Amino acid sequence: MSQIAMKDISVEFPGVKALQQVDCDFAGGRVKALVGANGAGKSTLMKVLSGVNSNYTGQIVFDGQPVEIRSPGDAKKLGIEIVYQEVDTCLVPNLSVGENIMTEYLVYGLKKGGVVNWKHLHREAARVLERLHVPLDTHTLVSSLTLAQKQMVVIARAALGNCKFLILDEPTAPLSQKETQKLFDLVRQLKDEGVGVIFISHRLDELFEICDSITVLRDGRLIKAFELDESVTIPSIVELMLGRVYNEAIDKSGRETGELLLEARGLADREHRVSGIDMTVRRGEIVGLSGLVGAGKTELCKTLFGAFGRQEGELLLRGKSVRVESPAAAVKNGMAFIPEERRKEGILVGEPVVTNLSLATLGKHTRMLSFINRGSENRAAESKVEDLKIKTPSVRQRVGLLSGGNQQKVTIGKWLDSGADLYIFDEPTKGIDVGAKAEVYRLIVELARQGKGIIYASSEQSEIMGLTDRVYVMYSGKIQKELITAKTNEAELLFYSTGGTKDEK
Amino acid sequence: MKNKTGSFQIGRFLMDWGAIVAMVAAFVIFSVAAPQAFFSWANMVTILRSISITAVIAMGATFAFSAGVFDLSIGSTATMAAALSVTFIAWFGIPMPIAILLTLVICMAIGGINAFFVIKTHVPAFLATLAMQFILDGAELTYSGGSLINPKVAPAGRDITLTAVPDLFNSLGKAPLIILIMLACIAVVELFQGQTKHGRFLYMVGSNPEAARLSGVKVNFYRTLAFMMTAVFAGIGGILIVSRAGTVAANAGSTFLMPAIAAVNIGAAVGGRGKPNAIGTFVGAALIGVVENGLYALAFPYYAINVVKGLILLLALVMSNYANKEN
Repeated sequence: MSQIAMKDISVEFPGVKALQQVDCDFAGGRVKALVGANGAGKSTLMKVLSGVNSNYTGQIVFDGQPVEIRSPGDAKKLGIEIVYQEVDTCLVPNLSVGENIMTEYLVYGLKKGGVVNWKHLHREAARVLERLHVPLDTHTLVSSLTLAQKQMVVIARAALGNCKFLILDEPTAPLSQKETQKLFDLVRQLKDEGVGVIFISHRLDELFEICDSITVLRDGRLIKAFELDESVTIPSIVELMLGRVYNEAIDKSGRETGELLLEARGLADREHRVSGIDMTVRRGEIVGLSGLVGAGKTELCKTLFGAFGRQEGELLLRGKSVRVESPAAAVKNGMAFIPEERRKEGILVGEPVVTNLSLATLGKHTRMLSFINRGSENRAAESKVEDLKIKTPSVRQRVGLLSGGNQQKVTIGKWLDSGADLYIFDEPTKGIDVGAKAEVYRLIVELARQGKGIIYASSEQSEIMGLTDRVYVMYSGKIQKELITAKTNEAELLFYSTGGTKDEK
Repeated sequence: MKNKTGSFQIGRFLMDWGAIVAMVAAFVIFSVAAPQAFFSWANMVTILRSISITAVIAMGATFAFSAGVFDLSIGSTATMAAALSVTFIAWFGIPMPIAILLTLVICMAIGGINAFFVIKTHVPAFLATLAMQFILDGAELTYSGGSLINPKVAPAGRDITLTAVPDLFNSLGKAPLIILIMLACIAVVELFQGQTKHGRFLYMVGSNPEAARLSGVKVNFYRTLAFMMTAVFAGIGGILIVSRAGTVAANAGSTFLMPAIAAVNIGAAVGGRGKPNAIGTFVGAALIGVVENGLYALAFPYYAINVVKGLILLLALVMSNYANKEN
């Protein structure tokens, strides 16, 4: 069986040491877990192994032979295949399962004349599916498959050739429990065939079920590699992942917690991306939504804001039962939303600052017959630019040309005079620099001081710990646990984020 | 380096003012080449009159383009409006103001149907309105019994007492009234799109629908409004068509589809506004009108004029899309 030894691997991006002298071994017929918090270097390491990141230093030894993996082609030749989380991007939806599995044959394998031997194509595809015990008809169109089935197709394609190592990058994140079990059956099958599987996952409870050993990375360094046996516990892994975390204190004083602003009872969206949500937010309170990427934080924010249309369950605002079935209705009910995908959902990049700042409140700057009062619009924009310290040459500047932090201030600024008293922030500090982050925090605390209720969704535990009063930890579209921030710690947040429950602890 | 900025600025200038430069250039060339036929006061009025229907229909198309949707059915909506308005008067004896009002209400409903299919069933606007174009063309032919509608002749095989079409109706499509109507339409659309809240939101919906929606803008409402306004202006154009020609041929409105779309796209770049707008659209329509008229004055073969018009559209699309890319 094949062996890979990665020795002394370092990767440096401008200003960032993504990997520092990491050693890692992989063996055929074994499943290895690779874990770490966001930015720990898991993906970078796997990009090196799969040839996507050619810019590494260090040595890779394959079956005792030093090898260079400088392109995906190099990796493929060695039998190293990677399956990314976004399976849709590597399948052709309008072609059949068979054609997708046999892509390589269709692209490189055709004889002169380019005639496709369909019998051969479907027979070979069916053979690999049968070998892996995947019950799929090779004639089905990929576009009609579920996400889990698409994943199987991608894995089958990877397993077709001389696959010796298979990297699965967070394969279970979008899957249901039943689908996850099917995926695990497939992984076990590959393992029995002697394939080495490398399994990246945030769901720590799953690792025990499928993995033989585990490697923990943090801040680009190897922390520990060990066998995954009964003596290992989830909290001990979490501890290794977190290490000591530096956290700048945020001044949250001067706030008063007031009346109940929002209450959700059994809230769900139409397609049950999130369900059974019970939560409350008071005036002056900063309530965190914690959880890993894909846990349903964004979905909950959007459900609350009516962005998914009709809601199920009950939503009370200021004690009154309301139906928030569109963002327009949410705005009317005094809600404001700062979405995660800033450039796509938060601002109009091609429009000037003033237009963006008045987007939610344009009705206030109109005269008879809804003619826009540009004087009033400009004055309001200029005062917001001053209050929020938005760095822009003028309010006529296109927002797309501002820095990420200033764009985010514009996104927040458009709500300031909307009369909203419930602000929903979804990863507002994503992609902005440290200085701007601190300003965003201050701004949020200031809103809370004014008696607004704040919902703050973030996948960074340190942010949740520093900023919030109370936190709801989400896992797989549900609230796993409610915690008082002062009485918890990052390890506990991460414990519940990875699907832990009280009795395990 | 300096040179590069210089050529970039020239490129920018041509992008922003190219339509006007081209129009002036065409004007000078035709005036020199065909001084009698082209350069006369009477011909200027002819040009204005001939572009007015294109311009009015194109005013409607600016709504669709502003909101980021597309309407291929405007030509056929115009044909339908032409047929309905004149027959409401001639066949059914409905008074002219009511006949016109009724026609425009029906057009608005057509726009509403387009909006329904695009918004509720998620058919791409391009395809939904293509289907609507066929349906309307067929409906008009069925309504007219498959022949030219002439308000002075009763349709074959139908027992109808004809009412005379009032002179006022016939003068709508002639100078000076047609030019005044066009100018009024331009003014209304310019004010609405450039100066009102609803106009602003139309653009926002076209610019980034998701960001607009998450800011509380009723995206579907504005898309529906865009389709309806588009159809209403197509309807006004249709009424002008029958008023000017006196009769309604089966494809009377379809010939305006292409120049109207070209006018909007030429106009979007004018003055660096970068968005479909009324004044720019008028410039676009005028450019096409000047070129067409000038080519006739030069005795350019009429059957080849579409080649020139198509090339102008292509150039306009290259310009507006290239400018977008730069943004």
